[in-house]
Amino acid sequence: MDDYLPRDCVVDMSGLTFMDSSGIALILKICRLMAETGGRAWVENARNQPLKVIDASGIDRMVKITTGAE
Amino acid sequence: MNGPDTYIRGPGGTGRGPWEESMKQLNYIKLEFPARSVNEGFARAAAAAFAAQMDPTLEELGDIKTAVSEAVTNAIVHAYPDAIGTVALRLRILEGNVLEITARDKGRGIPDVKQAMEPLFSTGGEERSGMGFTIMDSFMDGLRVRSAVGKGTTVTMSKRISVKARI
Repeated sequence: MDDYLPRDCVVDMSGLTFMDSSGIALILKICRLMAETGGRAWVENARNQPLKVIDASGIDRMVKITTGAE
Repeated sequence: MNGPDTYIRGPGGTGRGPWEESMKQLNYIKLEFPARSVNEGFARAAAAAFAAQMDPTLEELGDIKTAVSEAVTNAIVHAYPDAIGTVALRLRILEGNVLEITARDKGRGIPDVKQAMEPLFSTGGEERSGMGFTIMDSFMDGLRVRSAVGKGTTVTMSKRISVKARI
């Protein structure tokens, strides 16, 4: 991210089958870094256990989360 | 007077967990490993493998792996700032199809357990989310945290696994 300074950063969870709160920390860090450069970050294709962790953390109030098919 | 700091949230918010009642133990495993990050995945897999005999749903297995991951990671990240200590993980199957998970360390302990359990509170800097206890609380039925500064921390969780119909 530091090298390319992207305008948008998409966290695509298509292939993700498991995530704990360290993943939540990573999402928040990405959002913070993108905000510092005036960019945007969001999560796509969250599903199953990772989606359940996202819901439990409440970060969907701060970060845009879209869900994927089961 | 400093006693062990305790926070209990039992099923249904009763403040008592199933471990408080004398539930018969049907099976158990005990694991002990160094507080190294590389052991987190093993702890998750071991817990899932042990829980398999309870015939959990995929979602319940996910809940168990997540809760174990959070408790074990807490010990690995926070308990031993100056050395690699040990983490003890015990799983028990109790009568009534209840899985009890206990993660214990003999590390530095938590000065204020109630504060530690607040969502987003973390002493780990910007690499941590502070959501570990919130997630354990959310995915398990009961959660108890006991800790004493300089002595260590014990996290006990329980989950009643659904009983499947037998045809």
